[in-house]
Amino acid sequence: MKDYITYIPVALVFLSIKTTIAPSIPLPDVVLLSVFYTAYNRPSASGAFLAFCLGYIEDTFYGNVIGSTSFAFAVLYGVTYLIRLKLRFESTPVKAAASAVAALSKGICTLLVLNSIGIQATSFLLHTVPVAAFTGILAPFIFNLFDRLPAPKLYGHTNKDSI
Amino acid sequence: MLAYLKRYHVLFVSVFLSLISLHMVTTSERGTGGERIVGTVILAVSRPIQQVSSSTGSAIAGVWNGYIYLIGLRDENAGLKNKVDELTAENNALKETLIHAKRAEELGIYSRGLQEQTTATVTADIVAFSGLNLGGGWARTFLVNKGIKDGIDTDMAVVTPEGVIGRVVEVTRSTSRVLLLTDPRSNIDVTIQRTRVKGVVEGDNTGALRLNYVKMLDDAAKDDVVITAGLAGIYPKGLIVGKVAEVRESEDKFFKNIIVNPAADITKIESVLIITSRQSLPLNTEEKEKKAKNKGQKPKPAPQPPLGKKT
Repeated sequence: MKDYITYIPVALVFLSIKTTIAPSIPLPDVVLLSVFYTAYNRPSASGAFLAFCLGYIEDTFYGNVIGSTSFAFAVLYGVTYLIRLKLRFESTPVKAAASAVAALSKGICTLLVLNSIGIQATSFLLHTVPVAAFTGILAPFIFNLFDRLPAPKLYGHTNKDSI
Repeated sequence: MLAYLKRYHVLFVSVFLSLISLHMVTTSERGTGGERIVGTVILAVSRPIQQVSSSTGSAIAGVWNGYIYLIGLRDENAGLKNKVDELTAENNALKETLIHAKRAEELGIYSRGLQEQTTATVTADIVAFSGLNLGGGWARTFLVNKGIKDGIDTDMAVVTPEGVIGRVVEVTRSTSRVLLLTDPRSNIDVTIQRTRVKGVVEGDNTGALRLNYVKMLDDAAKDDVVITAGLAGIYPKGLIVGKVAEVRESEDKFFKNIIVNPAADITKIESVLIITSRQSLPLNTEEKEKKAKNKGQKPKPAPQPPLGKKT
């Protein structure tokens, strides 16, 4: 778990900035990107737990229904883990597209959970689409920054192999 | 089997954590309220970071607004805006009194017992927003810098002179989370001021509100003012919620589809009032004072009713 602990302060700082200085500016979903990045490059049980924790932190910051983002992140982690066994995201456009799809999937997962408990938040997806696009565009740059964070070499991957 | 479990242990852990998350969702009372120690700890840890980024943002905005962008006009505009807010609130209170008086006259009731609501409030500054625009999640909430130590509790109404903002759903020692009236989890009992038709206003995540349960036969038109009905015990009666923006027929031909624009522009507010206590005082206090003098006692203040749970 200590290998992933760096992502928690990153998430705390990002969410603090997002909710104070830039509540109405579309920023890339850095928390989602860190879940996607760890699931693809360093999948482990601790990483899945990190995804769950990051979801919990995001729910607390935004005042969401507790568990809705945790659910989305845990599902995303599992799905990304399965996808990485079959696909490699090599080029920059593919990385960007995969990140955008991950952001959209997060939105859809959250919406499904909300609808299941009777909260109608359908217009939420309208907000998700531009954020997904923005997340996709900036994802390669953010992954580059994540590459500079301390990383263990699991499953034979090095930082050079990472997305 | 064991090898399979070992190989896909990440997947199994993910599935397990998804199930735990679903359990948390279904047991969190639609995400509003409930004691959450971990959440309180996270908010307490992040409070200094938020405070630093909030004050940095305020400082930058302050320099821009106060010194670079239209020096002097800002103060004048703020003064005029405050005056308009005061006059709007006064006008609304007068309208309410007039309607009450008319009704009492029609019924032939001598309105001695007309009650007026007095409130105690705490001013709080907003320190963090969520969901107001792009990428902030689906929830519409904000954090204010007042908490338990300032007498704030859950289910207290949050207002501005322009109108209702929402209610407190989570409190820590020094911060409180306010659920905006535009959040899909929010619902408020309301009355259309002109026709006295009652309904329930719900957030729909677009920034506007839906006024539900108004029958097709009931009178509701564009630009009607919607005020709180004061039924649930959270919001005092007569606070402005918004204005009717659109009235349509529903598919079931039973209720109207009414869209209401909130009175307060939530994206522009910086401070709010939290109503910490409410009490009812009869208008004919002179009679009470006379009675008390006759008995040689001072009049006792009216008892403070507890804020009821929202229905």
